[in-house]
Amino acid sequence: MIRFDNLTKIYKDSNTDVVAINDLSLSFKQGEINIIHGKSGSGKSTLLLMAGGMLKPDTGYVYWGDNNVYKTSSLKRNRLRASYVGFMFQRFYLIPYLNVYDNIRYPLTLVGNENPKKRISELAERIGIAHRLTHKPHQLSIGEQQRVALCRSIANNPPILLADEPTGNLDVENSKILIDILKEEAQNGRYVIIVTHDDRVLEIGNRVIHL
Amino acid sequence: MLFKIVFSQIKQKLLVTLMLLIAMIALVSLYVYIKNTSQFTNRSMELIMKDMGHNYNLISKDCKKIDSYLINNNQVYFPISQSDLLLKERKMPSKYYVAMQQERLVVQNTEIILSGIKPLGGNFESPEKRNLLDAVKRNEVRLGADIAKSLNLKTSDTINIEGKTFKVATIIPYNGDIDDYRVWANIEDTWEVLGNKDSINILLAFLCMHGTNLENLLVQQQILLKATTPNLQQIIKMPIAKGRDKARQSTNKTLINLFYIISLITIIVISVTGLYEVHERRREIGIMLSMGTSYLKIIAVFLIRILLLAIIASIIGFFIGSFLSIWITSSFLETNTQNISIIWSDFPTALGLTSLFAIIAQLIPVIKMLSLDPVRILVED
Repeated sequence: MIRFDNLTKIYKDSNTDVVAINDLSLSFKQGEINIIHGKSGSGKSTLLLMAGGMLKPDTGYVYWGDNNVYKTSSLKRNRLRASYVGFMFQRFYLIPYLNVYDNIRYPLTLVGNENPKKRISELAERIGIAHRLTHKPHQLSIGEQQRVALCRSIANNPPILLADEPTGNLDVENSKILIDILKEEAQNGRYVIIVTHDDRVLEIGNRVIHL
Repeated sequence: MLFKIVFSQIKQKLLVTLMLLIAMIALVSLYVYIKNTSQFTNRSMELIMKDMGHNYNLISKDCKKIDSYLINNNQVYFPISQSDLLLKERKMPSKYYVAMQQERLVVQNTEIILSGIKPLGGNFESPEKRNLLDAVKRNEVRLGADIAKSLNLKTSDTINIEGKTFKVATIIPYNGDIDDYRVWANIEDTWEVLGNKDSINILLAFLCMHGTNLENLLVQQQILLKATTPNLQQIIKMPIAKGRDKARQSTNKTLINLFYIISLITIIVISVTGLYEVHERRREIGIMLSMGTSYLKIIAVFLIRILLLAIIASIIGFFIGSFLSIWITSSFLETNTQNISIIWSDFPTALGLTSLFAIIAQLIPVIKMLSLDPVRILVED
């Protein structure tokens, strides 16, 4: 279960205060795709970062299961994030000097799985990048890079998958492939939260939250 | 995985890493080269000072110094056993004692100074750290240059002194002081010739610096002398003692200053490169943090890498510096006993200090890294 209770985030400026999120409460169901939709500056990314345990709200709480995320120490929060949350970014953020295999392997090592060969092979096969495991990110197409980023975010089976504009840099064909995989991930029992302004993604959402 | 990341990062920024490594090797080499050279130069200067003779003499408290300087009949004898008390006192800065009986005599109408000697102290730790005078065999003499010339004596000739015949074993090269008029013999022989068995009228010694300054050393010597042999008084040949002190101080101070300069440059080079690295890798750091990597692991990557470079730099730098000192310094520095060589005992220090300074220098970029906010990095993009 992932839940937001009365979340508020205000960015303080010397002249004005910008309210990004104001007293927002939400709860999410397992296996659902939740789309957070809104125009630029509406607070979508802020909400995603707060959901991922990376940005502390001014007021309110975020729960991952029974864990009140921001009530824990930053060290414990890091550990929780490594096992609870998979992050996917619009710009992929693959580690440039590691090959595809090691990029996917990295989050697994954070939860103590140092030899996850079988898991990575299965995952790469399913996502369609098995033939690219020894390549460096710069040797991949944009669509392949995004699929590697997705593989990495779900490698250690996190219950929560957060995706920030996952189709933002993809063409129609690659977007479709990615959307299908995201659907599969939800069907596999993950909490999927996607921030997007891409109307094609809206169609797959079980719930669309407009900000 | 940690080491894979370390090696992958090195491979990715190979040029920067190589530049850093070369800079570190150059600094370690320079330090090792200068240290080796200083050490052997210091040793060489010490030997030169030692060649100038004993810088510390002890005579009886009842003897006027002028009588000792003039070696006249007013010199006062004291038991040779007094020297045993000094030898037992390990903290005594004075070392390399030579018990001596010295008296003026006339041989074949030529005035000589018969000097019976007995070097004391047994084994010494190295060829440099040994007594200034070698023992003279029984029934043999060593002649000063002027005496040999006046008496027209050569090696293997014989000389009769007060009814006892001695074989000339060696003729000492011209020295330009009273030693040129000495006839050096075994003290057992001079006791036989001059009497006063088991007594001496001067104890020659050498003040060792032990890395301390001369003033402190003299105070310590005075205190210990009073405690061990209150019946003796000291004659310090200050120019020799000061010369030795200055020589040691100059090389030591030069080395310490150089050490500070090299340490500072090392820290600056590593810190600046590290800060550049943190700036270049801020996005990676941000993404790693977002995946749940702890700061500790990211810091470990930085520290392991710089530690690896420090170890490699200290090994290569140690050998380059040592070989430079062997090739370059030995071409102009004369050492009497020991050739310039690799000082293996300095290796752990070079390794330890390089690693320590590398870690200290890397702390600056690490602190900078700790101030990075992963959210800000990711949002910026």
